[in-house]
Amino acid sequence: MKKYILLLVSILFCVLLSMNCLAADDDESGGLIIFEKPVEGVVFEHKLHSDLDCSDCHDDIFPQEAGGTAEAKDFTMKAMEEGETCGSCHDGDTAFSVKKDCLKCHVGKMNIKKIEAEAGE
Amino acid sequence: MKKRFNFALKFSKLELLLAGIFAIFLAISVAIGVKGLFQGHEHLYGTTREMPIALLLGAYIFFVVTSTGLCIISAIGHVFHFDAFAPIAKRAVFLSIATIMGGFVCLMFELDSPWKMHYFILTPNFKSGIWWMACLYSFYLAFMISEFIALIFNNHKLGSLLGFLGLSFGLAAHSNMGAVFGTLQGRPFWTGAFMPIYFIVSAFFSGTAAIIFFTYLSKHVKQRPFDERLNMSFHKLGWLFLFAIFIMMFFDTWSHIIGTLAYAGGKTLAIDSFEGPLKVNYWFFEITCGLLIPFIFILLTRAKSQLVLFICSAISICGIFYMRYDLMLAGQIVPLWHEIGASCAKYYVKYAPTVPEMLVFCGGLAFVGLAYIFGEKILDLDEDQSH
Amino acid sequence: MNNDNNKTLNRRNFLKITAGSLTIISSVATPLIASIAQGVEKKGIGKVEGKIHEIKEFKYKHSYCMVILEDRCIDCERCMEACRKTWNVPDEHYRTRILEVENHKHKSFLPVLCFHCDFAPCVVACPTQASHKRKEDGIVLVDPDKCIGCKVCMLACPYDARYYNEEIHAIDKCTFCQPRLAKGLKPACVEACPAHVRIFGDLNDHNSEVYKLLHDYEKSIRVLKPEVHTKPRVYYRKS
Repeated sequence: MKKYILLLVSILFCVLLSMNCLAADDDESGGLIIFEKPVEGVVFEHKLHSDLDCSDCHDDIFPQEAGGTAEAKDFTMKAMEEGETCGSCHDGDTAFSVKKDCLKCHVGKMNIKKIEAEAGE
Repeated sequence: MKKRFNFALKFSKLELLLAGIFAIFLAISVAIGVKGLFQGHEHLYGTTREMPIALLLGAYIFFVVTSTGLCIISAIGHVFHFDAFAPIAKRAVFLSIATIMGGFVCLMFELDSPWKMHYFILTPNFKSGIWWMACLYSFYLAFMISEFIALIFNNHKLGSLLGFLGLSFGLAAHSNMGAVFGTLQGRPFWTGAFMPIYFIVSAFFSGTAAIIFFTYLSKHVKQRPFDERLNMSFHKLGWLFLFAIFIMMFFDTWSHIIGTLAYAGGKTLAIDSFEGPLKVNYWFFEITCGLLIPFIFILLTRAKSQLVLFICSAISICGIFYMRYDLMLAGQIVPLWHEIGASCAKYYVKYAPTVPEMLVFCGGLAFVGLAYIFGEKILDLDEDQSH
Repeated sequence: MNNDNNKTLNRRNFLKITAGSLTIISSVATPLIASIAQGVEKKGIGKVEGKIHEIKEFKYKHSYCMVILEDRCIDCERCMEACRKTWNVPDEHYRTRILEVENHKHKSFLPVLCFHCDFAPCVVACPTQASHKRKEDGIVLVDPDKCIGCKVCMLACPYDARYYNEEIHAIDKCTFCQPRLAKGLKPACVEACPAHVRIFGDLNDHNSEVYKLLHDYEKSIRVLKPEVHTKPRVYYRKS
């Protein structure tokens, strides 16, 4: 009898532990990312890309690990204009071009706190 | 020969108490001012980058406006020899000196680094309104003090001449102070030739209010009622005050109307809408207290009741202070980047005077109060009959 | 009887004199007046005309100016950080800043700094000449030894360029990095900007980027608050 109870508790424990991955994000996708490198004042909202699957971008275009994209060498406007990272879709056809509508992502350092607060609600 | 100085001072209990309170306030304000010189004004006063000039400079202007006005009043009697205003002229000269010194108390503690003031003389900028104001007010003060000394020694001819020079330099200095604001192109509320003219007219207004206030007080400080000449003079002063109020109402009405029809950059936004932050200051203090109440009551009593004149002048002086204070705030209250559409410039600039600032202002008032009490007791501020 | 005759004689004489003088006046005076009138018009007495006095061009040895490409700023605020670090600007103050401007739902970021105006109101207002404009390159500087902290220059400046620095006991503001320019470097904010928003140079050099940007007649150039007539030396255009 003790053995079965021990098994049940350990399975429950594992299930609960694995639920951590859900608690870490505020929604099912990656949530709000605020970049501080290469420049400050940039946000990425996973929510706005909810019609895509995770595998559409991860891991080919963007590394899945947190902070991975910020360190990537092809995370520059020049590289994007040539089709790297964000530029893979934001080329003017699939989605708006990286050459225009700068302020959609470059919201500005002065607006970061406001956006963080809004996303937290 | 009449005694020139009376050192056998007799203070009533109230006067002693007041003198003591004034002395304490003056000491506190000097302490705060000196602390500010060492520690800086950023955490002491409520002034900010957006509103660098506020209560203390408004207080300085209040004192200086009153001083110039008192000089004008004294000149009517002494320089232009209108006998009706001769009895109050000596007191007016004394008070013009006392009020400007009270103004300097506020100014010295308003400047952030006044120990470099010798550069005023070493490297002057003749295009600067501030420079001319400082230069001309120094001459003004020198002439007013010498005029008062001449009056003490009953030399009325010299007193007249010095009074004329004091008046000329006073008018020049005060209109230059108006010009300090009039030349600020970046602040549309102040820009233009209106400021120097307005300052002189409001000086006349402040001066009449102040002389009525202090002349009435002299009845109680000297414990001696007015003689016939002084009664007549006081009555005429009442009419002069009414005239001054009327001129100010004219100026204020027009600046208000033009501010609503054409953009006046600030005050109109802050006041006219009855929702702006300065609405109480303007409609209650400036207009009602400063202009309407004195106008109505002096007209009703036909300037005959001395008590009514005194109360009206006291209420008016409160209103006048708010006129100077609002003038400072209104020019800066709309942020500089508002018209361009900056998101940080959507609200009026926030300002609240801190307690140290208010205490320094009280120090200036205390100085004037102390100077008046001692002056009235020691010196003979009534006009000598023998000339 | 005699009186009547006199009266009649007087009336007749009066009529004669009147008729005679009218004839003389009309034949002599009219052409006289006409020729005087012509002469007056020719000489232009009372006429108001003339060429508008041109404000003089300032001749600097180095005509430093900055061009800001206003549609490229992303408010990363690296320029503000670089300026702060280089000149020890206290944390709660700034020498240059980024404004967020919204017009008709179109947002943009606008960097602003001291514009080193040719008709700087701060230079006119300063009583001790602490605020002065250099003759060789037009840079407006504040001499901290002379500044008494009256803050009238802060009121005079239409562009929020100045602040009182408690650490140096004087007014502080952007200096176009004048000490760096003396060493041949560009201003710190210009070097720090990753988006090529601020372009600095000498207008006397016709090969400089600023000269080319300002003489590109396809794009319009503007200055901020032209109505205050300060003639700033920082210009804004689209890239």
